Amino acid sequence: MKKEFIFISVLALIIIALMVLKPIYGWQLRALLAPPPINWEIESSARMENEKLKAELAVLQNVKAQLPERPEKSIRAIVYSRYPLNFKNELLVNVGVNENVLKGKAVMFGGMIIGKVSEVFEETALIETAFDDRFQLPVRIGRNGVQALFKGGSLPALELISPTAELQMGDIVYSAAADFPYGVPMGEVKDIRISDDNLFQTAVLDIPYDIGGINTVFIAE
Amino acid sequence: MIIRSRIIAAVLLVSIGIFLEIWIGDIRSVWISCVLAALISLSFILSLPEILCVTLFALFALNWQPAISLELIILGALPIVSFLIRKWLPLEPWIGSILLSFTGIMVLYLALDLDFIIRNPSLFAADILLSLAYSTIVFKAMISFFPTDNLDF
Repeated sequence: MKKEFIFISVLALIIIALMVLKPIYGWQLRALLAPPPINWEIESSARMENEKLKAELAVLQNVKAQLPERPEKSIRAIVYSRYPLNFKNELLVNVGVNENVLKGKAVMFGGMIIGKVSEVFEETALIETAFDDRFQLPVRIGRNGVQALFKGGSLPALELISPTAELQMGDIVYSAAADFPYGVPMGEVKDIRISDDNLFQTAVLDIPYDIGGINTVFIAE
Repeated sequence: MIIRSRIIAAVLLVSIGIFLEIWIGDIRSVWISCVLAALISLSFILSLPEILCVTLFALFALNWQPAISLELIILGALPIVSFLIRKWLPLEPWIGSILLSFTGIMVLYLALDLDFIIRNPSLFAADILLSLAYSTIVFKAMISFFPTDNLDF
């Protein structure tokens, strides 16, 4: 009995030491248990490229004069792990303070905004994705540059759209927030309807990627 | 020897729970509380040092950031609380394990985001059903290989 107790205590101590000193081993263990990454080159790169071009076209056609210079520099980051419960939608990436990652910066994948940096650690950073209920971002829609508020969640939506604004299914939605690169696509307008209070239009957003299959992202500098 | 085999079996069952949780979460973006349910079931079969050890292993694998979070504290505390109160439950152990697994998942939702149940009732129902199913499988598997008569509590 004493031997068994020592065995279990040693095991527990090893796990505690690993959790505190080398959490990366835990993330690697998770990566082993996770499904294999999706090959985005085949799956949806064409669709994402199409949305990128549509966003660029919309920006060029209507809001060219308001365009600030689009930041070219970004930091490549590898996704370590995902938040394992239903309450948030976060990713942990392998860059942090050491690589000059700043809180609030845009995070992109395949030329599309997928979230923002919510917390920065020494060697890692947490990304709040567009599927997180807390995520909000001012955006513009389509060629007319209609203003809206992007609200994250399991079904990302566009809210506070003027009732007189003309929207169409398939209109591109692109970023229009301070601290974010302007005109980067986020998805396409899907279902449009009048809000419950009859004051605005709302729309569901069609996002052409699966957040679970993302392995590499770019963080705006 | 029984204790050592039991803890290895428990770690394996928790690993399968982690695998299911991550696999379903990554593919469907729905996170099932398999690991919590399995840990609560195991708290009816394992001794305190064993359940501590298995819980630490689960937290090590589920931790997604290099900082302590409320989520992990709750996930770690619930199996221990379950271990402490299970003896006072006037129910058959397998019914008690299902009841406490359900209560544990409810506590998790109540503590972290009660509105989630209102916003996504179908996801919550799916979480409860699948988690309780896995909890039952874990309990039945463990009890058939390691009857509680052999246990030193």
